[in-house]
Amino acid sequence: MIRFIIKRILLFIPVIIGVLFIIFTINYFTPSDPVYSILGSNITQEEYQAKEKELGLDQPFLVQFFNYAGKLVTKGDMGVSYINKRPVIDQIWERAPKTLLLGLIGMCITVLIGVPAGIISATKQNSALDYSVTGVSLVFASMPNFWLGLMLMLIFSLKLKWLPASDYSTWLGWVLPCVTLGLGPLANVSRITRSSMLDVIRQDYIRTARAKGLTERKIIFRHALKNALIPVVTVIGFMLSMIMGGSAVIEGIFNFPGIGFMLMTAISQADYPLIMGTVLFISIFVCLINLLVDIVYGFIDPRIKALYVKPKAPKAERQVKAA
Amino acid sequence: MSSGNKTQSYLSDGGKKHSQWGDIWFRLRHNVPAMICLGVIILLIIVVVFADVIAPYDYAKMSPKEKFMYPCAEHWLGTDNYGRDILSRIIYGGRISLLVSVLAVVISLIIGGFLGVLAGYFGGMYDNIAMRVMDILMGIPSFLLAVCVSAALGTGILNTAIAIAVSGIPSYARLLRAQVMAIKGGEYIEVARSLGNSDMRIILKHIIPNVLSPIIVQSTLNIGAFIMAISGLSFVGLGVQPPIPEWGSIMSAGRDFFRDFYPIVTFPGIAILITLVSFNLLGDGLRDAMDPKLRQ
Repeated sequence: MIRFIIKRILLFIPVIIGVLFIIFTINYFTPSDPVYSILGSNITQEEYQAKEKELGLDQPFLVQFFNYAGKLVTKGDMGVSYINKRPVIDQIWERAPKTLLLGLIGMCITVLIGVPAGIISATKQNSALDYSVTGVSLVFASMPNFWLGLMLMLIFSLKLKWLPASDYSTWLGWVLPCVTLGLGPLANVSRITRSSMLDVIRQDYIRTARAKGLTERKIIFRHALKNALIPVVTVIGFMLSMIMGGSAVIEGIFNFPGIGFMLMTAISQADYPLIMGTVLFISIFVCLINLLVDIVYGFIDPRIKALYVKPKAPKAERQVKAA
Repeated sequence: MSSGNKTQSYLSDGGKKHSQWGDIWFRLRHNVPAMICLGVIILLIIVVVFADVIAPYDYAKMSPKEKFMYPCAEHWLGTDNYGRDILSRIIYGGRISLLVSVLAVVISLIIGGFLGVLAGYFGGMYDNIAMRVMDILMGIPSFLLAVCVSAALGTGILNTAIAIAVSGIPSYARLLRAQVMAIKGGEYIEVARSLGNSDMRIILKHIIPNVLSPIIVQSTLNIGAFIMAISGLSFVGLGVQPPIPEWGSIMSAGRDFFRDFYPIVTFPGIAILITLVSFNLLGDGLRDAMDPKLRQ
């Protein structure tokens, strides 16, 4: 099992370097000139060249990349925002915890609604209940999350006045952004739970359990669910990626004080170091969760575990060897 | 047993010969939701193609006297802050949304498909490199990747399509790689090779036709997903810019008045919702029709 974990972690490193490289490359080709963005356009040729040298922009592309990566790894330095001149990493650390919490709560909502919905759909296959669960989750999957957010805001905070809009001093303010984020990937989870549950219900061991005369509840919860949830775990990483990607727009709508809101502001001000830093930070977080999911998956699925754990030789063989 | 009977019923259908596509159409035709959705999509395409004739007003025509009108007989979906007819803007906006989305599907299909087919067919070192690159692309949340590319390339129709396409490449590459790997071990491929066909010819003549159906399903689903992503990009101020109507940019423009006047934001969203439900259900229907074994 240790071999499995080490292998996953080793595979994780090149992915992170690749993500860094891609985001750096995209940023390298942005039309804005960092020197002008920092000093303003009213500068002399000498000032321009001095600043260019100071920032290392006169170096070749690859050298610039390694400088950036080196600074990031050794000092956690992601450069300075063009607009407020503060280090990007400080701004991210200030705001990131809220965004990560928002994303995780959103994911919990998805799982807590999606998994039971999928189970109900599967156990009552082709019933009216099944169709309505599938239909409702299809509708949520088919609307842009920012539009859903705006509609929820219109209904629950502007018209009904049940929930505050963009006041995060109490937990009530968190309800709308979290629910908005959680409802989007609902269809993915309920659909995967449903089809995986349907697969499992048709297995021989479920028929055996039924033949033994177990109650339906016991069959579903003790025998079927455990196996049916394994595929669901694999999509958690993908879901989180969707939720964290979507959180930027949602934070923008709800004026949520997280890094997504900061990213939206940075986009409108063309503040490239901040855009790059935020995207990089969210991507690394998503990759880390994916790594964790992979490792957990190895633990809960004995078939994966078997690939990496050496089976013990049968007793008789061991005795022969010892002799 | 039941599937055997069904096959029988196709064959006994007046002794007519059925092509593979004929069979697919036969199965799709019996899927009522998918057929309704196909109808909606065809209607949508007709409306956006003939927008000049169908739209009740010019999408850019401002009339200061008719600002902020709620839905009424003259303006079915009301008017916006410049007195422009919202319905007409949505119809013209649909043209841009669909166009950019189809363009993005084509771009990502060509690049992702090329990488995926080669990775699946040749395997080995090439496969390893291509798939690691895809892993990296998938490590970045797709919306944020599109945001980065769009911020770098700038706005506009083609740039938006490219930004969205980049985030769609891994899905095609992975799908086609898996498909090609599954069929390249087939006996007919071996026969084709032993007859002296070149790799290029085998890929074009024997492999591509066999992976068409998953491509069609994935592309149908992607057109919907991309429409949503494009509207998101336009909404945050990247993507297609305000003078051009696009569903996301209409909503973005209406956001400032949203608290007091709901139609500008609400109706484009409903247009997206209807379009996406249609593409999603049609995609599912096509999947069932093309691979009846998968149906549950």
